[in-house]
Amino acid sequence: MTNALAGFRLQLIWDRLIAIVEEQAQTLIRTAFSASTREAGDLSAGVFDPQGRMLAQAVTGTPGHINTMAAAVGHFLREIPAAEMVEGDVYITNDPWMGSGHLNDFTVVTPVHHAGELVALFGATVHVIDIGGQNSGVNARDVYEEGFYVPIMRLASAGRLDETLLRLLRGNVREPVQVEGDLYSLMACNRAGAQRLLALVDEFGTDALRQAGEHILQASRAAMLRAVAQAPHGSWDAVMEIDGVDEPVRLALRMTIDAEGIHVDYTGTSPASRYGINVPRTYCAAYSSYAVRCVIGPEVPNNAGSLSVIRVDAPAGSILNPQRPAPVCARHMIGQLLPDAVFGALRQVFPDRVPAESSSTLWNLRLASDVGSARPFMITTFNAGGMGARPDRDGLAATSFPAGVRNVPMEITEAITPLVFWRKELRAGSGGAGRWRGGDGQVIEVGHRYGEAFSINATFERVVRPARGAAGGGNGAVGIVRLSSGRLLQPKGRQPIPAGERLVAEMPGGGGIGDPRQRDRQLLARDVAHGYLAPGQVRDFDPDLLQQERA
Amino acid sequence: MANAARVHAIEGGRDVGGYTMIAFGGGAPLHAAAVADKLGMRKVLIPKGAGVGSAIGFLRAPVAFETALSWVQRTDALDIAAANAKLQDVARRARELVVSASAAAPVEDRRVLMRYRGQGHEIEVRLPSRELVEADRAGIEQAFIGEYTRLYGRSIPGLATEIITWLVAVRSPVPPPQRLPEPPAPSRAAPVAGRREHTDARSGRRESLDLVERAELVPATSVEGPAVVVEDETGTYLPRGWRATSNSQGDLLLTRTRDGGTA
Repeated sequence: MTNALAGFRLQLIWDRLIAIVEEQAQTLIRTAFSASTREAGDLSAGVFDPQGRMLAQAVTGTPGHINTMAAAVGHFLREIPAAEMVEGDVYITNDPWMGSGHLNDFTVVTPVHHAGELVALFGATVHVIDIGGQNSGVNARDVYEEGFYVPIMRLASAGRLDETLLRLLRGNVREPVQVEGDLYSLMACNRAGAQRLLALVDEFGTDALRQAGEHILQASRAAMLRAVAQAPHGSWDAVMEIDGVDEPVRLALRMTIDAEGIHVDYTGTSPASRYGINVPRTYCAAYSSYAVRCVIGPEVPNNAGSLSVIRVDAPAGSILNPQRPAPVCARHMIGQLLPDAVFGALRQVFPDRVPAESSSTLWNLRLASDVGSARPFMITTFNAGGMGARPDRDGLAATSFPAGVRNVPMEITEAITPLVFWRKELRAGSGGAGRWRGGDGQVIEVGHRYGEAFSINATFERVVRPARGAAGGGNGAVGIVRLSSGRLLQPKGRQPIPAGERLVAEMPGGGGIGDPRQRDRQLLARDVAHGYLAPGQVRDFDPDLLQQERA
Repeated sequence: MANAARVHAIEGGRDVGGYTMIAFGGGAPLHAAAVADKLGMRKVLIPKGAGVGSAIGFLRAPVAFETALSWVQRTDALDIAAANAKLQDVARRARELVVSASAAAPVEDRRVLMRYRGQGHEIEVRLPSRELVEADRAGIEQAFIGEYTRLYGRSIPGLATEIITWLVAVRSPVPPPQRLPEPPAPSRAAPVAGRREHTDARSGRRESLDLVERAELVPATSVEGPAVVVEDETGTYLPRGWRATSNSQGDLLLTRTRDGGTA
């Protein structure tokens, strides 16, 4: 076979692997019980070589799951050596340090054998609605209080399910049907991926698959190094302060770029908290790498090769590298803000490529019925505030960045709970002013169909400190969580929504970029016509209007 | 494409080797023989007008009407009488429509979309095409479990199932096709209209392809690969080891003439 044809075949296999993991993700969505998986795309799915290196990941998914899973399979292989793996095995864990950062996330890994030889592994992660214990929120004092722990172990051995594990799991969670159903979904999606991969092996052979794997990793690493080479060598520091629970948290980092790649070091960051907002190192690395990849080499496919160019460190005992048994349930709160911190450094190198700060931390509404209610429910609906403005265009309104999950449709939540959504609309003027506006947040007002009391478990950020604008752009609005009667709620912790009241969440806006007086006048006219601006806010953009009013 | 066919066939429990592939559409005749090689098939049919096969098919397809009725029911608590009433009503109205466009007695097909309670997506399960009876509750659930296991490898024990949507499709019967007379054995080669240089993807070798006009490939003529049979709407690529002949209707019949056609 000529060189050109051989290269063509490698690319063909790479494309096929990407299609296979996308089908794996779709199978997960089609069979999942967890609403966050099937409606919001809160999942990860990927294929790994026999050394545990990720070769391809599904586009559907979120960095918190995907990049942690990229590291997790290596941990699985240390616990269960490849030589001991047999066909029909399925492995599982929800270990926050080995997996995806908190106990709600189950990672399932399935080996694929061809003629008795291990040729690949499939991995997938979902967030289950309940894991027992505190299950969500910031109030646990250690990880033991947070729920039921499953170390890396076999879920199935040569095709036989571990019924003991399933019995224990069912007995320890509030929603055993959903949680067990989700484990079955994880097994099903990996199986679908494995079947497609074996068909690929039938067609091309195991040697070609191995060569394609090496090619993927080498080509991706090389492409990332070329992208890094565009940057000057040096170090840049950035600091971002965020709300925290009862005291602010300081995120400090030094980003160093050299011939080896990019190193992000979080020395100087606050130490671990007594609240469940600590971020296991793997989750910190996941979102930090994601931020770097957004700006440097974004077109390079995400796999072990492209990720190998980025190193992320935080001192042991830091809030970004907490040690067991620190509580970690709400690690997304800080984790999803890490890209903004990293952008603070990247903006100094590539000001024309980096967005302003975003609302970032998802404003998920974790709502539950009161104990003893005749209509029990427990849901999490995913929602996003505004994204920071981009250097050449506005930020996206009510769009989840960096998590990249979909907002769960109201219709779904209303179909499975006694809740009613009275409002879900753009929060006019919440995006920071600028030549490019920050994305607007949204306002959600939700109540109980029968007027019963219910509760919210809040983990909201950007309530005190807003998303900052850049290059003269204005800050986004801070978020507000309150009752319809006007009483403010705390942004963290479990609180009641009294009978007859409704919950109102006004989500933060993203920061703007550039001088608002430079904003294109046609765009401004459109903003006004569409009601995107708050009353009087147009004056920030057009001082002439102020003159006209005075005249 | 071959993978998709294989997977589809495997899911249906079939081995495709002994089948004839029918290829149509602007692109299919270019790839058909090569895909057939991968699947171990020896016969390919390129119908007359293959390049516009979808349009022809649309005109010749049976008259059909399908209704999807949203009516959520727990399978183990299915209201049989209400289900029969709804299905009958829907089927009657569909039959009236179909019969108004095609007089022959129509054929009916009933399916449901089902899932485990708590899931968000359904799979399709066949229903018996008759009035439902009490025993059918268990039968429908068994059919769901069988289909779910086939698709996803495992069913989930102890979970209730539910029916979300009821599908009733009514269509006019398709008359059985008439049998054509056997085409005469080819006795002469079709005239070659030109030649084209080409690189065979598998072997990497340069080859010279004979170009034959489809209109010249009448019954009793043949062309041996490597060749391309050209026409306005498409072109049929014949790899080495394949032969093309024509039947009285103007369809092209491709046959593999020797083993190891995948070399």
